[in-house]
Amino acid sequence: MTAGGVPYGSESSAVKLKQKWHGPLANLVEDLCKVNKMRTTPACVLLITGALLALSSSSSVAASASASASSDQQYVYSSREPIPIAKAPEAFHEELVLKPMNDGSVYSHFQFTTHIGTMMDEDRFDGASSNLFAHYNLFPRSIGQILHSFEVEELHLTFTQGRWQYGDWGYPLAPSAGTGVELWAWLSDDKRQTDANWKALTNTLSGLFCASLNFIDKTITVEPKMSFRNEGPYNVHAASPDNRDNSTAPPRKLRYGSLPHENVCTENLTPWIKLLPCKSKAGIASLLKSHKLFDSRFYSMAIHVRPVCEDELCRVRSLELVQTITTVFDVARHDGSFDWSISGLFERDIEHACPLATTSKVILQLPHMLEPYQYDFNPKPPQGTYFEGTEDNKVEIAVYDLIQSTKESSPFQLAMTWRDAKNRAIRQSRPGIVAHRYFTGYGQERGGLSIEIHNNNWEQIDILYMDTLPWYLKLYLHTFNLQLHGEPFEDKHGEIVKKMLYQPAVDRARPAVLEMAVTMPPKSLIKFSISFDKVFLKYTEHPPDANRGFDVGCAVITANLPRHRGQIGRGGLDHLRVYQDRESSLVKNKRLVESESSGQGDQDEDLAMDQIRVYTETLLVSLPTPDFSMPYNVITLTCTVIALFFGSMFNLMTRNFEVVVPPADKKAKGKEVKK
Amino acid sequence: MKLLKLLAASICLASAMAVSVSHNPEDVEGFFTKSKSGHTNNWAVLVCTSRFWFNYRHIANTLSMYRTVKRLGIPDSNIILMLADDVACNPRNIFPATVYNNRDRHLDLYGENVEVDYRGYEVTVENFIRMLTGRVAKDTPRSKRLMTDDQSNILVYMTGHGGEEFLKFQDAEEISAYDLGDAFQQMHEKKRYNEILFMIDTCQANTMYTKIHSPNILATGSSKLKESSYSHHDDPDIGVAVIDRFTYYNLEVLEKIDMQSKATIKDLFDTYNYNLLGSTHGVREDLFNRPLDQVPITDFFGNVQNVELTEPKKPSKTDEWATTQEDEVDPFVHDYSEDKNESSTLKVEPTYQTVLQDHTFEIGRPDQSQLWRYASFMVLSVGLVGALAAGSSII
Repeated sequence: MTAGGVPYGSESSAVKLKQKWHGPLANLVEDLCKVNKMRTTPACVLLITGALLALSSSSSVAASASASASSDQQYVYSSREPIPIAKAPEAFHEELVLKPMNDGSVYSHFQFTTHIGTMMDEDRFDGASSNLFAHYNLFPRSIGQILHSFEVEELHLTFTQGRWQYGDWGYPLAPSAGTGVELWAWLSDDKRQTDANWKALTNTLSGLFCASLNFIDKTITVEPKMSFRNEGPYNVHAASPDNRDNSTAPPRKLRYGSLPHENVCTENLTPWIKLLPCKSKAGIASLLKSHKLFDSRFYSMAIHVRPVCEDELCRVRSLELVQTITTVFDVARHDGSFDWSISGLFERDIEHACPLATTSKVILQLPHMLEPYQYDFNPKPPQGTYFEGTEDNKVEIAVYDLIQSTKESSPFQLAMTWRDAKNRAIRQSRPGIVAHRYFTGYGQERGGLSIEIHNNNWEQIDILYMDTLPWYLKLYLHTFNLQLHGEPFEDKHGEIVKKMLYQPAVDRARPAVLEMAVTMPPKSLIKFSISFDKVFLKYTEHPPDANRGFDVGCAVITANLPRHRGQIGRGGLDHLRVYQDRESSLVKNKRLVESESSGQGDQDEDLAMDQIRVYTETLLVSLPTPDFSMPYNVITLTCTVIALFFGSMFNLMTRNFEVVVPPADKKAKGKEVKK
Repeated sequence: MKLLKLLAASICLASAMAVSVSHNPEDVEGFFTKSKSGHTNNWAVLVCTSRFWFNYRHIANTLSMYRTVKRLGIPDSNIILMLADDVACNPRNIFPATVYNNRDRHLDLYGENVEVDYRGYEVTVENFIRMLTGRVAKDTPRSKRLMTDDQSNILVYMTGHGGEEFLKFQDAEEISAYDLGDAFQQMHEKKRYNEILFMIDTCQANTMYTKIHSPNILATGSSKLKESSYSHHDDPDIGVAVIDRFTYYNLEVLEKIDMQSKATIKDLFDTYNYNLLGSTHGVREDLFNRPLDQVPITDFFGNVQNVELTEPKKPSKTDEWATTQEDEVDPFVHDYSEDKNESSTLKVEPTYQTVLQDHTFEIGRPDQSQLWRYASFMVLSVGLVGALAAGSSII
């Protein structure tokens, strides 16, 4: 009751109300059981069921009372007073972003955000010591338990089917990943059990999401040194120069692994939906129908767990679970028309918002047209559209509040029609950094790898390049070669490659990792190439469909792009929050924290950078495959030879051959007889 | 709404009073009659061992059985589903995220709620046998463990491409009838099942159960030695066969079964017919103890819960109808003698022994002396060499 003073008064009255009702009824049950000396448990069960039913009616009163209390109050904590952790606010937000793309496809992005718990910054995030995971309302318990038992501080798991077409579609609004499954996590290294925890984590997630994540073993796992830094406002705050010295950073380790050849299908979506508080019964998630989602050009499904701040100075920390699904629908595939509607895209409707959601919004990003009045959309948002971004990169945005709109008319409808589908003048969005990677060479003995990175910006851009190659491709670092604009470039002074970290592979133990900090000159094309040998694998190391080849995961480029270019959604996963409460304190505070950490004021927005990860293509390499029936041939042949040799030798050694004269009265032949 | 709830609550309370007043122990005991098979829980292990698109029908077979057992009440947590390939989201599938087992495509087997426990490269002979016998690695998640006990009835359904006494896994390896028989024997020794129904739909399927030698296993297969099993029909849009005959005609019966059904396994087996299957089905019941016409289909395909009443260790003196068989106490049952003075002495407690045995794979403990092994090996080899020398000298 002490901290913050205000907020808990009304809630505690609700608790009292609960106790007032629960107490007598529970006692009544006990008394009845004792008085009647019931030995029959069914009777007791019935009795208890009845009591529970009665309780549920009373507790719904209590729940509504507490809900109204929490919505009215803002949780503001002062710095040094003890905070009742168990009473931390939990919140759930749901958003759907729709965006028509240049080629007529429709981009849809579902984002569900759940917050749990609160911590002082003195207590670092440690499930064991804090009672963060003592109670679950909205936060999925299965995830909470995983984080708790494997000491996970930050977790990012992405399932992707298809490839994001950077050239046609620009950048995705929220982070996506390369084809297959990507998992990376920051684990606490307090007890020096990171590797054991990582192994257990991959196995557990594999069980939870019905995926073969347990194949991320030590031969695939890497520990990037430059890419994949901590995310989330809390970490941004903690890494700022002011806090770096005085914060006693707990030891923690990064693990990264990807499975490029992992299928993504309904069985992965099913457990993902089960993590949502409303499942797919209500709210935006009711649109998630697997038949339509997997009938798309690109499908990406992710969960991100990261620490965030609840106040401007990051004294109060909470944990954020962001679940996203990103799809690109090819609406023009059937009849060539670019018109679309929500019910047509998903074959379902949003009847009403998820009752547990604090906010429930549909956001429509209108296409950036060169000529006006080419399209129409219906309905128009009640408060009108607004513009986001600077002059060149202005984006018109329509926001619909589902909680309001479904009260007025249900289901929620949204449709877009084009006046003239043939002549659409949509401004092309040109992504700043694009990369391609491919194999060179031929034959099954050796090959080469080439990476092309384009910088389309007029600025110099710093990027981080990370590539993980399996151990069966033996890289030769001395063949590393750099080309600038197609000409060989001698990088003697480290003008382009500022830093290079290389971890050679160990056979059957770890992959090769190549990490580079590269400075891209303005409007440039850089090409790296490196040669490798292909290893002849053991017979048992081939997968069942060995002749298909081996998938090599994508390379990851982490780039900081200038924000004013408007190439990506602002702030990664936070951009939606920026849209929906533009003027809210949270965003302002977040900006304050960001500007503190970067040492820039709010007015330097033009200089601000947004980080994005660009993924290259996954590759397929064919290794020399033996004829798999050969071992059987060899075994049978060898056995035959041995049997013949051994049999005859044995006979020679153990038998004595002599001529037997047959008795005169019998017609007999010469016959060998054992002595 | 609240009024309704209160009303319901009061009715519940009143009925509870009524029961408590006129309680009769025999009635209660009769209510929880033990099933004839003695099982208290049901599990299903459904395995498709075939990879590649043209084996669509094998995945459809397995998913049909998955749908059936789920419909009859076995929850996902008690089903181990192994699919060697992903045909639902295969680029060749023109109906994404669906699997159909019939040309009319009325029923999507994949649905919106499916949990595949082992998929793709995970479907191997090693994983299958480890899962059956419980010898899994320490970190294996719950969904990949067969956590059965001696009161579990297990349906083991397998489909794929097979031959005489083997079944291929993903065109790369095969499980032999001996492996399977040994795995079942190990399960028996570890008390991991009460009864097993082994069902296999593959070429020369009946040879697969010839090497089983553990009790309480009922087995059936689609075709005898030297016979192939055939697919039922194809779908011109999907472009491949969608179901096999044996599974198809099993489903014909199973689709008409619900959880209350009294149909028996014999009824199911009697519908098998050479004219329909195109092959000679087989049934092996010599290991099975019950007559087939008394085994409900739901004993294996459904999850009809039976609750077992266990006796307390020491019946209270005030309890006149408690049994006196205190000698036969199941060691796994919780001892309720502590709370015998509580209101009830007879506890309804399903005896489940979820003893998670993490079998690690070490050969002998490191502290154990291995000396006697070396000694016996040396003695044996010296003896063998001596015998050889003696033999050759005699010659």
